[in-house]
Amino acid sequence: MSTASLTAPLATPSPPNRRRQLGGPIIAAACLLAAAWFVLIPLAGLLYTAFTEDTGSGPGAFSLANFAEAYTDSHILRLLANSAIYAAGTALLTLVMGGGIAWVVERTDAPGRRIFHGLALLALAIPGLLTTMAWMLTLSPNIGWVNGVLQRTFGFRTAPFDIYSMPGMIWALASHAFPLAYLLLAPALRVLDSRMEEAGIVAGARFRQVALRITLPILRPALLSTLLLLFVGGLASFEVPRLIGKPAHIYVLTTAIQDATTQTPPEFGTASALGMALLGVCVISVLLYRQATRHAEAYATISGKGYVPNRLPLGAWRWPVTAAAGLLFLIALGLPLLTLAWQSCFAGLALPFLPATAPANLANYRFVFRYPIFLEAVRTSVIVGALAASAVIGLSLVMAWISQRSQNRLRWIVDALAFAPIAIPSVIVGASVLFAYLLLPIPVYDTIWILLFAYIALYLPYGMRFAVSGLTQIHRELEEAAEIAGASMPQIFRRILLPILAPVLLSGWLYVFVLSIRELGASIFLVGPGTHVLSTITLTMWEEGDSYGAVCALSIIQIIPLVAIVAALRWIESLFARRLHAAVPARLAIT
Amino acid sequence: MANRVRWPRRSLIGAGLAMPFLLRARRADAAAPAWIVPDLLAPAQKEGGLTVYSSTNEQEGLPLWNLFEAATGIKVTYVRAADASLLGRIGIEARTGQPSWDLLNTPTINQTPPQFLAPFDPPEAAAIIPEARDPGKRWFGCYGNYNAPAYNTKLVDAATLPKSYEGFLDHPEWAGKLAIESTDKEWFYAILQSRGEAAGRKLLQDIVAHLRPVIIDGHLALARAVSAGEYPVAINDYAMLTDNMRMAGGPTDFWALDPVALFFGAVGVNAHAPHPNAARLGANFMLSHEAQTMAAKTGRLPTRPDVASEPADAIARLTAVRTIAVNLDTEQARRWQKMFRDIIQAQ
Repeated sequence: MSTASLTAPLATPSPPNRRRQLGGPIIAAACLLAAAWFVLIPLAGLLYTAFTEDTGSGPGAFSLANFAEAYTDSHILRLLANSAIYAAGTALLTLVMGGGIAWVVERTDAPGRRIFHGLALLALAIPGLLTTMAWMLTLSPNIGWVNGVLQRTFGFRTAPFDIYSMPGMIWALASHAFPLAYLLLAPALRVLDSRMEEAGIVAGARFRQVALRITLPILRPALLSTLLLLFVGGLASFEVPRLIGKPAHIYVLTTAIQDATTQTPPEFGTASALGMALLGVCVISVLLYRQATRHAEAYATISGKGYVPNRLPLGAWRWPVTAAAGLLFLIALGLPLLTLAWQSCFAGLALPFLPATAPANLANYRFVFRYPIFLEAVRTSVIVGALAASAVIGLSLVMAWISQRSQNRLRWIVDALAFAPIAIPSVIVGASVLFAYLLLPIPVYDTIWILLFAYIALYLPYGMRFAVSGLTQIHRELEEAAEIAGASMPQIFRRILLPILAPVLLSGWLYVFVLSIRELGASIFLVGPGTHVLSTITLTMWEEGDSYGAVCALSIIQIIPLVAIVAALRWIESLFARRLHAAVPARLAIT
Repeated sequence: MANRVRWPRRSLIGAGLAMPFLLRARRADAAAPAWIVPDLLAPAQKEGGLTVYSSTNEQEGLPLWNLFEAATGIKVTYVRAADASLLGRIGIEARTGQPSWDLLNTPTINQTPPQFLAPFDPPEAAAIIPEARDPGKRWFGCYGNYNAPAYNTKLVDAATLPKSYEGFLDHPEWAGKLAIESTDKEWFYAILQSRGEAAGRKLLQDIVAHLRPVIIDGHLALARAVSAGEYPVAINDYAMLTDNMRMAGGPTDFWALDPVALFFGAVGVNAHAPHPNAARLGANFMLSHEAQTMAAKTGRLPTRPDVASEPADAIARLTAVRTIAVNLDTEQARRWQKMFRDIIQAQ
């Protein structure tokens, strides 16, 4: 590339170019304002309810009574300690599981890796409440069918597995959350320049040394980003502590939050005061993360010098690696899915490989399809999910770019702002959004828009982690080169960043879409006539249905359209990948 | 507040007193259902709609309200959510001055701030048991939640069941297996009422210390778990849920111990209802013979003595021992719930 062509636009910037240069900051400012709006409403709600008297019919005068109520409980230290163990254990196990699958799919030539990608996404589709229930029916020491089968086969006196334990809790959440780790790490592994690893091997390093001293350090931002999300996500998770933790007498912070919000009337003040602890952990985590990745350009593998993402030939280990990954899916996904599918064909309790009291039938499926508001809920869920995923990913991309590329010392605030909602209990988000839009002259109550606004706030942290993880892989010299060549900011986004980030953004989109379909805590406040969503029907069937069967049938039914959407997105993703591979040598190999 | 229920005598008297009015209403217009109040019908129809907030699932609630729609021509908008969510939502609506609901139907209606509910006097209320009527006339019970222990009939011999709550202490084999529902403040309150606060607390503390009960969130989850054999015995649960499991073929049953705690799924009208006449008519409908008969078919235990429960002996079995009707306001509910939770979580 000639020097003249690079410097010419800078020497004589024309008026149209100036206008184009202004477009970027305006769009960035608009996105930032929009994101701030979506996030600050629930954040304000959290602070307001935490620092005001809880009257039973809403907040009252300024008060610290909620903090006294929340933090003077004699069990609070036990809650915090259990929360830390649970969240850390889940984050580490999930990282190992998801990272392992990501490595197999993206960095090796193991057969069947494309199937693993689809299966990882399938695991996301099952609502957390039902995955937890499935694990109870699978690994309960009293009625768990796997325990039953193992006891019969091997003559164990006691059940070999007990889901009602801290390891059981960690497993139940990790088996459900590992696709998130996979989705976050896969794009980073995909664009990892194998020439660095090859250089290490040529220099005489062993495989383990290459992994520890080259591969893992390069992946540090993605790994830390994933760990951060998993840790905070573990702290904020509700279903497993409620269904498994409580019977096991293992109480965590969210148990107390849930106890407060399920009171009648709900104690939002206490829940918010407890939520402040989560918020504090989040802010500290973001600061630690930024400190650990402060030299972001050191981790970029996509630069102006081109990159070669080759796969590692496994040789004789190809099939054993595939078998190991397959076994992981068989256990983490296959067992709960089999339990749910089996149970969906019976009214009473029926477990795989154990005698049933009645013949199997499809009555539960008929019940779900005839449920008065089922089809309406499917439509609303899909529309709001797609809109939320699109908005979150769009906003995240711009915010991540500001957070990663800006030179301003306060840019961490953007990161923290986008991450804050993960600490706010979803019921508080729902209540705050409801409160705000009833007060404001914005007529969205009882429409799908109020659900959308809540979902954007709830899932911005996830979109942000995807976008940040992807951006840190791209060296800023690509954008600098484009800028020197006269490209405007929108052009840089459209022609450089978006094509390179397409896989990670699609993964993020899909994840947010699935989360939106599953969202419950905020939705229960915000659904109205004609805007019911699938998750609220699932809850109704869980709370009010007589049998396990109907709710299991509903979960199986939810999986089917998600599989179709996953397949369609996978196809789009592969299109982008092919285009990118075709374009990379010509566009990026500047040297 | 607690009221002791003597179901058969009082309720039959109530039904007897109500009968002439109901029969007269029927004679007045043979075509119209008895619960239709002519003075309310025309203004209600003019209002053009009715918004119901309810904790009853749509599968059960919508067919019921279809009857109302068919009889009145008033379109019903039905919003279902859990009790806590409903109360949170109406609290927020009230604070922002935008109440959108007309009629509330939930078991926790007595924990709604009194100013949210309009006093009213539905004619059909004369036919329900007195304990199901709020003295302030802000709510009226349309089904009863009776609380009684439940057991798995395959795992526990009925002959060995305790004859009192104290009798649970004679079953050390249930240590770590006995389940307890964690939100049952009404049940806890009835225990304290029956034995005195100190003795009642000590009883529960002893049960917790000796039997280390497994804590479960959710009455239906508990009924399912006992029916499935996850836990052999539950010390507290709603009897109608246990019965529903049993009717569906599950190996489970309840047994009544002194006291049976009783509170009500009730209806109340919004003090600032957008459709006040339709709301009153809707509340009257929910208390009617027609609506309670339909609800009884789905397992609800009626508050009208002239409506048979399903199974027919359910209420008789429950009221064979002392029954204490519990009516806690917001502050009382919070206080007793906190005490109950503190005791059962101190393991």
